[in-house]
Amino acid sequence: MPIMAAHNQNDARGSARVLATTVKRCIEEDYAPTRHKSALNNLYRLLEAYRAHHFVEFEYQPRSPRGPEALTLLPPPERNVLELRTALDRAFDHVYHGRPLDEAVESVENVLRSIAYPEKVAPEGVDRERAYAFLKSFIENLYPVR
Amino acid sequence: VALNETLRHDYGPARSLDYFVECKKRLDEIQQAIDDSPGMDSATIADRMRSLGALGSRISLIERSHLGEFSWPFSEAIRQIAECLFLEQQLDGTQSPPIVHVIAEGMHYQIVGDVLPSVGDRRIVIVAFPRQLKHHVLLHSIFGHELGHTALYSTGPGRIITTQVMPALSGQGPLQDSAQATAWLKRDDAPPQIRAMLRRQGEYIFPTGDLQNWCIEIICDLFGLMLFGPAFAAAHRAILGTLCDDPWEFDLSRSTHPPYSIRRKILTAAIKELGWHRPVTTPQDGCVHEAELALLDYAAETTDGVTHDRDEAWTSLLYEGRLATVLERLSRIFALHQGTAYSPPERAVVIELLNRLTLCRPPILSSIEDDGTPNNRIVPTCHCLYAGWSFWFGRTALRQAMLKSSPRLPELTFLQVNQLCDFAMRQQCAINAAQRGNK
Repeated sequence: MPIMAAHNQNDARGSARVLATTVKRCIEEDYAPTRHKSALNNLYRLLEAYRAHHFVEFEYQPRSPRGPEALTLLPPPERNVLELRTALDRAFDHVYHGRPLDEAVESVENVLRSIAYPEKVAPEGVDRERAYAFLKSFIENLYPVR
Repeated sequence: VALNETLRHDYGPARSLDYFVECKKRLDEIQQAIDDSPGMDSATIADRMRSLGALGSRISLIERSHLGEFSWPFSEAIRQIAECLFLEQQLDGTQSPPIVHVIAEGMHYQIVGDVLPSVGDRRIVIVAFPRQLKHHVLLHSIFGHELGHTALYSTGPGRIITTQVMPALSGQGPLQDSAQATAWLKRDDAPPQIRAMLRRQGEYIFPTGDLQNWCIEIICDLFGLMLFGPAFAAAHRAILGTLCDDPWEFDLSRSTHPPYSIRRKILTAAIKELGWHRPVTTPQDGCVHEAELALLDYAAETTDGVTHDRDEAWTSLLYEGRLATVLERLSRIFALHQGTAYSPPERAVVIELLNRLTLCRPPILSSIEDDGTPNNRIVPTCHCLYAGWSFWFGRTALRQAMLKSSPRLPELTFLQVNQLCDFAMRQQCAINAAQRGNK
């Protein structure tokens, strides 16, 4: 296998795991949120995408290009996006069982806001413990033990 | 060094700065993450490598973004649509438009977007024009379909499509589930090609996963139609119709797309549902009217020899009674962004644009008043394309009629008609900028 074939290992779960871990450490106050606003924002973007369309577009993967088309410089499609959805489904169900999805997502998003912008969203009013449990469950479900 | 190269002016006027800033931000964040946690685990190292690889691939794509390798006026049209429709909400409450990076790469029309950027602020959407079709703007309207795919994973339109449009399409009928789809395919009135394929296959059940694929592809076709109107349907037929050997053929075991004939029939039905099959010109407009009728016949007619009425009835079961709802719900995406969706042009506009094309001039609305002041008007891209296609189908009679007053008019090739439209869109960019400046 050519060394650059590693490029194809484009696993969306890896980014999600790093994002969730970084935010979890911000909640634990291991990390200074000011240095990790981008991770907080990108986890928010991930949650918004999940809430909006559930990654429906990724339920099928187009066939890999063959022949000269395989030489394209276009980035390869992200893999395992649907596993991301499953992990989010399970984490929300585990921690926010019975609550409407929109409400549960907003609850986590409010925690993200309170960490990134404590001057705008009062930290007392948000449920950090639940958000922490949600992130922990999400990370565990990204790579479930078979 | 590679990143600094992205700032060169030949990669698009005033466009490469956004791209540079976003890539630089991603690079800085990766660097910071590495500095912050020197003892990171192997999975985190792998993700950092992945982020670096993804960033590297985007920076290297700048080399495919040379002006002159694709139609930049058309890419501007795509950029405007994307920046309008695909705004992304940020944690701080602001909304960010995507960075639309246009390249000439490969042999297909493609749009590739970030799914899950773990670094950076803005989504980078890469629009790839096929290298062999640089200035064929009439064909480029097929990008409307690809924009449909991008819409599906954007938060605003994606939500409407997933929660409103898809249920309307697949709530009933063959797309509802595998059993319904199988029963529909096996109906006695199915086209003979389909029945022959099924006979060869033996026992057969329509794969459940393919239902979703078909739904997505149909919705993306309708999305393209709503953006570019009959010009999209014409490009759809010109490109896909000529590429498929058998318009009914599809892979029974795993298909991403419905057969071409089905897609075309749905587009045709949608054009009729929207009333866009009716010409805006009148018989008094002579050759212009004939040209417009010819376009509408090509884009929306059903008696093309490929299909028969019997097949029409069978195909219509896919969308019967639901198409109006699907289109209405799809139109909600465009409702908040006036001017992004197609609406038929005015009669006088079509006449003027076609007259200009007949005289081998770019189809814009531009004149000089008696006092010497210029009078330029805004022509949407979809109307320019509508005129271009109409002219192409009526070119012989239009030229013949104009030869009396302009005896040296040349016969235009398809490429030349495309180049005139491409040029018109470039002039229109300047007119639009001037109009904005005047306000």
